[in-house]
Amino acid sequence: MCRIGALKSLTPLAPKSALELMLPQQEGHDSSGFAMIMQDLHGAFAHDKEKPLLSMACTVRGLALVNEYMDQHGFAQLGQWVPDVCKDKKLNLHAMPRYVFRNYDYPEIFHYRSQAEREDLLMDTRLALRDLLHRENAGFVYSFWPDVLTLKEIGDPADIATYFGLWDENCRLRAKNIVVQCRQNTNYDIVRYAAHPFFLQGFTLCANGENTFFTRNREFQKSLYRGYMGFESDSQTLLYTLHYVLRELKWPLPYFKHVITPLPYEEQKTRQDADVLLLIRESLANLEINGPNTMIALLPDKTMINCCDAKKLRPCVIGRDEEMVVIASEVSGLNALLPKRDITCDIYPSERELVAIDDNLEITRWIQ
Amino acid sequence: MRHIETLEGHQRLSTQALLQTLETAIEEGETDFYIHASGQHDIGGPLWNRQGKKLHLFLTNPGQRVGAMALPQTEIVVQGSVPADVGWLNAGGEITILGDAGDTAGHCAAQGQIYIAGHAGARSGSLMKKDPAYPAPELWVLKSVGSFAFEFMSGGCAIVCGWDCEGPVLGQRPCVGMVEGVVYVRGKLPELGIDLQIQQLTDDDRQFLSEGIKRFLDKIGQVALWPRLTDWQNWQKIIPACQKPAARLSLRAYRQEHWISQGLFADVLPDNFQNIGLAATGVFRLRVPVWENAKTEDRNCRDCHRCELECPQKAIVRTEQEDGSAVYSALAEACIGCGLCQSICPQEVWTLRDNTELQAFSTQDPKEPSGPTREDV
Amino acid sequence: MDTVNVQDLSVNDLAWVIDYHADLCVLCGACVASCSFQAISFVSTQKLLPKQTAKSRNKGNQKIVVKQSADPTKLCCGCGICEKVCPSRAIRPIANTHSREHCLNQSQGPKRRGGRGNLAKKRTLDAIFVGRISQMTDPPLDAERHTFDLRAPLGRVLAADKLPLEVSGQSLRLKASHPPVAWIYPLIFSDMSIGALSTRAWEAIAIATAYLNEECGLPVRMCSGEGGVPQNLLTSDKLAYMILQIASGHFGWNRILRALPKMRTDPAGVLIKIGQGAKPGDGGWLAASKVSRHIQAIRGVPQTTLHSPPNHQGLYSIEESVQKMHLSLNQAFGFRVPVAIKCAASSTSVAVYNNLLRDPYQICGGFFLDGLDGGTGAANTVALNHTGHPITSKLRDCYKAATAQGLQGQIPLWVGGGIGMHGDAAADAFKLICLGANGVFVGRMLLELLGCVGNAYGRCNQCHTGKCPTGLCTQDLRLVQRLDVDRGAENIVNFVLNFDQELRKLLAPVGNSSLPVGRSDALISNDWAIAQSLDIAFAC
Repeated sequence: MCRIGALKSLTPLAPKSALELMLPQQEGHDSSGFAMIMQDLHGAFAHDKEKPLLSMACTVRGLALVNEYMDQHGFAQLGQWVPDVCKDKKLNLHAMPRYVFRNYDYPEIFHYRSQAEREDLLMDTRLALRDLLHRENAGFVYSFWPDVLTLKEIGDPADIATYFGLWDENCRLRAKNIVVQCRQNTNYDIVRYAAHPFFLQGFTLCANGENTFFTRNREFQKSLYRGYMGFESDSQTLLYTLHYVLRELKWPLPYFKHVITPLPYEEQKTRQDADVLLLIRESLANLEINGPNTMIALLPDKTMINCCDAKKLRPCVIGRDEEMVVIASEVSGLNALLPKRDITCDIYPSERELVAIDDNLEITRWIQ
Repeated sequence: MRHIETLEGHQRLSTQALLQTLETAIEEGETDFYIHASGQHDIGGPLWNRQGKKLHLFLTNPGQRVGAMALPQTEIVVQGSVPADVGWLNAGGEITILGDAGDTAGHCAAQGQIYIAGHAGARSGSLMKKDPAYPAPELWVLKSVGSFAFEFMSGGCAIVCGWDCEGPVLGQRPCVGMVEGVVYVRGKLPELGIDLQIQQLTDDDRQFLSEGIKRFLDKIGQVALWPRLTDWQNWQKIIPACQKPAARLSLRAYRQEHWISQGLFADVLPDNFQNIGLAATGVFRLRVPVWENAKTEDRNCRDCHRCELECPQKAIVRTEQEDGSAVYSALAEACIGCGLCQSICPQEVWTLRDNTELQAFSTQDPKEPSGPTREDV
Repeated sequence: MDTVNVQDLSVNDLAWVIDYHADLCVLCGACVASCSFQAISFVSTQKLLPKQTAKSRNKGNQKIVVKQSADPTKLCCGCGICEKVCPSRAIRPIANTHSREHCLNQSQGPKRRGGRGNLAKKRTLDAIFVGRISQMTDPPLDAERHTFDLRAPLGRVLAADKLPLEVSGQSLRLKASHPPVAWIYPLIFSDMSIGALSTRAWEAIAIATAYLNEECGLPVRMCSGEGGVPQNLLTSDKLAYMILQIASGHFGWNRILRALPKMRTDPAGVLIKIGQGAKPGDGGWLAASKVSRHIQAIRGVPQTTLHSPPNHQGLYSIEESVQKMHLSLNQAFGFRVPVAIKCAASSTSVAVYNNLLRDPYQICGGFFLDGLDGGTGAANTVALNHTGHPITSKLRDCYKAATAQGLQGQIPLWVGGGIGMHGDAAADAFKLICLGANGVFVGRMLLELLGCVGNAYGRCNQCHTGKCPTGLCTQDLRLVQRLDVDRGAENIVNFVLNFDQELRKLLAPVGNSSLPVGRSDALISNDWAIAQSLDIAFAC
């Protein structure tokens, strides 16, 4: 089981906090990788927050290809953060030759286009770059979105952090939201794209467990939206379902829970909104999960959510103090990061629960 | 007292290294430990002092399986909350958690005591069991437990005190598959399966709880709660019912009591729903023997009684006429139409014919239904 | 002595030979009395000899034995009723491996019979296993104690973005009507008409259906078949469990329509039958001899041979059938009742399904595909043995066609034809569901549960003759009376309860609590070609 965690803070945090959260949960992963997505950036990316930020890892040739593509398509580079990597040979990681974290200005004509058109442009550009790098075997592109940064690598999380200088309290990567995962890979090839959190158009999601309805989910999602692709991991489908329910269908958040873990029919029938619940279950039966999962997601409005599978087969706990709310697979992570918190305020979400934390750290617990 | 630190900067002592350090120290005779853990698993068992002295472990931030497989004479106190599997397979240790416990607390515990000063997670107490040779295991929870708690419990005793709970004290579907043991609960119970029963406390229960709660509160430093928790009217206990579900209604009774009166075809083909054997008599015979005494040379009954004697059903009756001649016939209620009479008759007087009696069986023309219309109902 | 010609029939020419032991026979007569085919009779050994010889013999030597007839109108069909009733194990039919039966009776025209296809078959489903067992990350469940959510849709399911929902605060609200969808048990009792079945057999299935709903909480549905529906049912609450069928003969439908104002509840659905897996492209008929007075009364017909032509006369194309037939029947029940369509599996099924999936009026509530292992009450033997399409690959092709368009689940796929013929109905159902079916239907299996003795090795299968020895497929009241309705219904109920348990036993190890429709990753095949064709993993 992967260990997952997330931090949401009133003041920007360095990745060190996320690493401290994950360190005591080390027995839960096999050092096969580390990944994090940061949103609402400060530090190196405190400026140009509305401009799309490209996160990728590539070869020298890959970088040239990307530069050429971006030039051709009218993207002008703005700021960037270049990690000062530690080249200690003893570090256990599969480093790529180049890491790119930079933001761009939109092509001239997109200054006058709608938000929706820009969002499509960003996704299509990311998919085009991904395709380009894949064809040339020249790297991986993780996200291309304003105010969002993705870092992933294969190896021991602590060594990956050392390599990128993430243990440094003064690291220039800072954000108010960090979603993080230390990976235990069981079923699939160790591929960078298979490491969550995953990102699509403002939605971030990571999940541990095993989605036993992966095949159904994938077969359904493949034709739903062009951005639903890849499927290197069975938890990617959860991101796409979240995106579909909230962005495409524009349904209120609690329906995400109804879609992935519908109530039993006999119970649905007794609900006041039975007709709506049944219709949803009918139409989106292929998006049900039905296996053990805990998931943490971050929405475009920076709301952070957490929920579990219907049988509550994966652990999760939420703790807080005045400054931040923290989610972790295991309470050991919270104990390390927030040792002085009031533990009577800890939340252990049940199988029927969806917990949402807004940008003011207000927590809403919604029972299905 | 031995202090052990497990973190130096971000260098963390692995579980393996920590546990080996601990074992070595115990081998050297140390009995008291203060461990600043950082998520290491399995701290607390199975450990023992060679002189039989009691081991005391005081822990902060352990990982999963605190006190797993703990032995008697091991006392563990954890400051704060712990993740999953606390007291897993507890074989006699006393484990106190001064905070919450994660999922599957006390899973498979067979002896000893587990005291939890907060909430315990999903599937807590699952598969707790009792070894007849030793005292039963106990799992004490001050607040609530998550869903699916006490699944397949086959012994021991769990006590959920329901203190300071806004939500349910037991989550969904507790005690599924429970076959032995008892769960005491203070607070409202969810719907339970038919293989469980809820009982009020007996005097023995109250005495056990009264002493136990005192001990429990003392361990977790909450003695002030004693009067509130011993307000017995909020307590109940769950035990396995050991009773089989009620037998299903028979299909015959269902048809007679709940099915359409007189059957589906009452208007066109009334049916008494009786059935007959394969070798039927009366109107249900496939064939009937007919005594056709033609009185010709070849087919003249010689009154040899053979058919009457050989008929396996003793269905053939000989009636003597006034002129002394005999008339034979087959009794419908006894005859099955096997035709033995026909085959045995030397004069071939018996003929076996197709039985057409039922073909005339009247069918009424179906009527328009006369019930109330949908609007009337 | 009479001359015997080489063309004369003898018992050893026939498909079944009666194995009779005179030394064991107690001459009780039960076998002879109960044989509905008159294939056996008592004969005096003396009568077997020429008359003159017999008369001259001592009458004390006369012996009575049971003798099999070689009369082509009284053939033994191997049903074994004689064996059932014999108290002394003196008699039984044996399949004759040296039969010349296929050469006989040619003057009677092409052969007809009931039952299933008799050619030895290797079934695809038997080469598939549930090979993905949850053990670690995705734990298995406990079939006895965990909850399972075994329901399947019947009705037109809309795409999520077509649902008539509007956001109101943090909730969704219905803002318009939508096609009806019933969530029912994934096992339907398939369409067998009154006429093909005896009144008792039909009623036993109807009682079992109602019982499963009311006493066991399993929303099983029964399809009426097209042979009329009793008025007592049309005006009863139990109609809610019945899917009414309309086939090419439209039998009984004027009576159903006239009962509309009197109905207290809607039926569970309507099934338009286009074709049948056992004899695709072949029509049905009910011989005049089976059209007894109550059949006339229920169907609203005179006593005459009743033909269901192979085609619906008014349907010109798939689009036409969707628009015209579905629309009419949706309308008949106020657009409140799901209307589905049943076709025989065929090489063209995918095209049909693709056409249905376009369904612009949202009125097609299900596609029922019937494979070649299905049974029938009467068919030309050549059709039964040589036409049809296996269900498994066809289902898979249909599901994948829908998946390719992102339309899977919108028109539920129900499949049948040989489910349970090798004894494991739940396993058959589970595998088909993993391959994309929403549910399955069984027909022949129900008859077997009611006592049918026929099988795919040529035993009995005389459903078309009106002489069914078990009283299931006949209107002869002498035979119908043999059927114990309560025991028959009980047997069906027990079967479904066991099916339910077994389905859970299969769901548990794959860790699922709701039906794994399309979860092909749960299956493996030890046959390379099957694995390739169905797009599942090969294992050996």
